Amino acid sequence: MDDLDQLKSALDRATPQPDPAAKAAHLALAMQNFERMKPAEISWFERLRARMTLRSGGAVAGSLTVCIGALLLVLPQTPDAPEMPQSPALLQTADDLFAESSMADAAEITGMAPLGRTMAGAVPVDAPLTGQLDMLFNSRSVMSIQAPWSSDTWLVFVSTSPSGNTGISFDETVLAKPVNLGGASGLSAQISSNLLVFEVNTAGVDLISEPIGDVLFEGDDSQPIQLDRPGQDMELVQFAAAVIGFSQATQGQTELGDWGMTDAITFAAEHLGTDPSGQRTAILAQMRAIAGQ
Amino acid sequence: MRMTTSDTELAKAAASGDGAAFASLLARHYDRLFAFCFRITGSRSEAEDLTQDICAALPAKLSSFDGRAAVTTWLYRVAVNAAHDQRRKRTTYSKATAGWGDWERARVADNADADDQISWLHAAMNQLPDDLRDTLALVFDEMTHAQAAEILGVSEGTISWRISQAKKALRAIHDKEEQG
Repeated sequence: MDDLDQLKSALDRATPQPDPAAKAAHLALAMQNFERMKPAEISWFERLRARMTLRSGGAVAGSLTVCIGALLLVLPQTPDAPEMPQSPALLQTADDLFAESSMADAAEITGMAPLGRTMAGAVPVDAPLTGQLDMLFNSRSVMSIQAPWSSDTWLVFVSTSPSGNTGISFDETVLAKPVNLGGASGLSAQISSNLLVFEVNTAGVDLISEPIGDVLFEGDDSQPIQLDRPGQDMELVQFAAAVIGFSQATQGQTELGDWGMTDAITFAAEHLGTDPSGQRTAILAQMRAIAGQ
Repeated sequence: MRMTTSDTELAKAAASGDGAAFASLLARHYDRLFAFCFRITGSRSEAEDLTQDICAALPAKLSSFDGRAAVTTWLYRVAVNAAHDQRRKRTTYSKATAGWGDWERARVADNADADDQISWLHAAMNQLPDDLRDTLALVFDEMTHAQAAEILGVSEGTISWRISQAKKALRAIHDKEEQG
């Protein structure tokens, strides 16, 4: 036994068990602070700023480049409207965000409202998807639209609302298999290991670049898509597509062709929809500011 | 097939406002956090203070959990940062290292035959710089060098170097005691 082993052994033996009363008090304190700090009570701007400091562009951008042809994004909205950003600092923050923009960042911008737990992933598709799709999710909202910048690119938006406290997770053995996109459509797509998985929750939208946890897919029991609010959801998807395109334009992505920031802004303005929370208007203003308009 | 809820799932649920998930996550890791705090402070009372600080801060820190690192890695990073904050608050070195007396008393009570060893360990932990002590505490807690590097924000090579330095320091202390 060397000195290090000796020290470890002594430490292991000397380490006491926590005092039950202190432990209970600490856990109670943590819960008390948790209730105070519930994400829904954290401002829209604070959450954006927090994630801005966490986002590291490199690894994310690499994955996104591979998957530029298709992505998945979930943008449900809750009845409670988020705080509107009023601070002039937000424009600078948004500028920074777009400077290191990615689809994940676009998702962040667009999905800033307090959200229910939702998982979303990117589904690379090599054929236009029309009509109703089926996906192997418990409950879902799946829409596909043609990318505004290319007739060859389709954006697939999938949202799921798993029950309970746990989210849907993926396993590489599943990712390697073709996933049936629905008996009605007759289409299938290969979900690659480059799958982008976003988790949308009250803390915002996070990109999970690596498969996590256990498999929740069960067999091939596709079910019809259920859109609770088809009109509102489609508005949101169209607007999200504009933000995604804008994000790509700031990076000079060649896939966009001649389509640029001005086109993205125009497309976004055309698809503001009802904008129930006023978020899209605020985002559009940010886009215009960044484009110097 | 769904198995036991993972730490990552709990952390993400907690980040989305699920209080039960947060409570489960913290309860699952509390004892280990406390033990880690004891290892880097050497004092039950300071470990309790530090654990309390961590518990109080964790809700605000949840937003920094992005799922890329393991929950344990993230928790230990929070703990190490809290320990650094605690050290900064201390005013004197003697106060900072006074806690190792608690450790010594605990060891004496546990094994009266180990007085010599305790004396050496007491001296060793008092003399080790904070960065070496933090590194040892992580490695002793079954963290790999790679995990310790991620938690402390240094390279894996630095961890290996620190372990090497700690070994040298411990050997020197041991030799000095034997000569004395």
